[in-house]
Amino acid sequence: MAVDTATGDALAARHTLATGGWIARKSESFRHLPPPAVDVWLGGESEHATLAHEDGWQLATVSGTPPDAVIAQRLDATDPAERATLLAGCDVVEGDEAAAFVWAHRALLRRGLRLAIGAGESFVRLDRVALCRVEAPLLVLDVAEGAHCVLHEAHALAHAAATVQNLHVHIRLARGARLQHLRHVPAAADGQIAHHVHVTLAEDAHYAQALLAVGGRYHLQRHVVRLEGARAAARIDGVLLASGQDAIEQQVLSHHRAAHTRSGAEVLALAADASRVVGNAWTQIAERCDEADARQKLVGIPVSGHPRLVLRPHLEIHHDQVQAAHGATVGSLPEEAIFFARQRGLDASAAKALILTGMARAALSRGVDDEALPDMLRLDAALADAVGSHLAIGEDAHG
Amino acid sequence: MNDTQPILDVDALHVAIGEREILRGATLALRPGSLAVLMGANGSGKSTLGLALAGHPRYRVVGGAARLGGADLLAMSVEARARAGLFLSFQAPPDIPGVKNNLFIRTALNAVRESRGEAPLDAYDFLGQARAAGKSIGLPDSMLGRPVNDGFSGGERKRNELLQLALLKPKVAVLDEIDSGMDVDGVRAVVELITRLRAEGTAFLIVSHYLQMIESLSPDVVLRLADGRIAEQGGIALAHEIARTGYARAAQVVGV
Repeated sequence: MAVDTATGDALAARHTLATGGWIARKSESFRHLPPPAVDVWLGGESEHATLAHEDGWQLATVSGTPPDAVIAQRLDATDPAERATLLAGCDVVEGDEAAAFVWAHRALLRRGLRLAIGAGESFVRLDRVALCRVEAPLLVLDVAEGAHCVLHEAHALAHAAATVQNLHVHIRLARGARLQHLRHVPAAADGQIAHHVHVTLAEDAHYAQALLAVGGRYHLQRHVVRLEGARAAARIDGVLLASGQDAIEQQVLSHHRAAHTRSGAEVLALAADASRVVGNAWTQIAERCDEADARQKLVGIPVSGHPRLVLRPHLEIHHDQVQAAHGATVGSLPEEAIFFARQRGLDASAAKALILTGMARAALSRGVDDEALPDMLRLDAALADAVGSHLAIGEDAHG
Repeated sequence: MNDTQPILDVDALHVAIGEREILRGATLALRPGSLAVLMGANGSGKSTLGLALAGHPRYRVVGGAARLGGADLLAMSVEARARAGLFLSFQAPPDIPGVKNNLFIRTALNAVRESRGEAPLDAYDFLGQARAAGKSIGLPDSMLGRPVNDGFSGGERKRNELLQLALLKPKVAVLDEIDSGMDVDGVRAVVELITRLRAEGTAFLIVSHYLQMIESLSPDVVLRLADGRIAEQGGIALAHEIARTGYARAAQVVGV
């Protein structure tokens, strides 16, 4: 029986998974928080067959964005031609330890959104709702030469019971393009989430991501950044909030492939109860990357209970003329600041929440160029809400 | 309570940090609107007294009593002490990254107002009050929008403490070296604010080594702390004597 190329591609992905196997437990990237088994990510036919005509992405541009600045294509991955368009340039990288997630994604992919951001200033908001219990969404973003874009990506997963989501995002920035990418991913307590963000930067391109990731039975945020052009710069700032039995991992893998490139990875993990959090930063500077600059800063703070925090900074440098710094600190709550706030009249939990919210805000604001942006996006409210509920769970657990 | 009764009454207070006893029977009383200056050599326990009264968890009260407005201060939580009207200005106010000054102060002020059964201030009303108070103490409006004490100079931190004092209007304020790091205009602002709040009934315990400011404050009493207790008390003449002879000499004079 003949099969079309779309179906064939999906079947081939399943075959690759079946023969190559799932992510090995001894995999260096995943050994501290092994992901759930492959069956979880593939689900049963009934779990992902619904709403086949929706892709779950709601797109809006903020006033001031030129009407032709954003071109959106909603593509059907079960159609061979559209699948080819959707996945163009989204190649599987040889030796990628997370390749099994890619095959699981290809096997399940139904629809995806492809955005082309034109030159000029633009402000894009993307909201995504889960469409079915097990899903594999796709977003591909091409940012044109010289374009300056703010992208606010928000996921409504907190109330989507038992959602399994294997999201892949591919971002390509052309020469001189700038993207400020703010991501808010609150997962339900029993949610199993794996987000893979692949960013490729041409020369003089700048990428900054501020990520707020909250909760989840398994919650992976994996970012792979390729600095291909000279003077390209990228930084990823992540705040991870975990409580109860949550298990969250952020991986930032930065590849310097050209001279005068800069990368930064900062993770602030606030963990309570019996949660597990892993911050994993790995930076490779290739040969001939003169004056490359790489920074990694991983901070973990146990907020209450006995969470497990693993922070892993790693640098792999193949060239002499570079600057690199990394650090990992498991610290404690700033008790003097909490006492100070209580002395001014705040009760202990309000003081703690205010100060932790501030720490998170400071961490997320560092990579944002525009000082007004956090206010515009109501970042404080989102953080206060996330930290508040996070702490409330922590207190409930201890009576 | 009438004005002749103390608003703050500290009786034979003993305070330890770890196993080391710092305060060994400190006794003092403040009436509403009164002002006491607390002097003493470095390490004599001046800051310990303020922090212990405020309920700092590292400072363990091992004996004695303290009452605020007749209520047992030591039985209260840190925030209950603040809401009951005790304000402590910190010698080195900590910074709070990511929390805007105006949000922090408004949240604190509204927590205190709520405990008094008063309606909370909205952002607009608060900002009006905060700007007016800031102007009177020389704190620019821009400091309200910055994170609490983050990147502030020493003088700016102290002015920020004064701003909180002016807005919270406590019953008792313990100011620990509020003048350090301040320029002359700052010290003048301290004196003006204290004078105004005293007139409204706030009692002050001022820790300072700065004679000129002490004179400007017209204290009701000057206390000298030595060996963890009030070793001597007197009028402004005691401050002059300490300035002239030093703490070691003063200790010999009274045979401590």
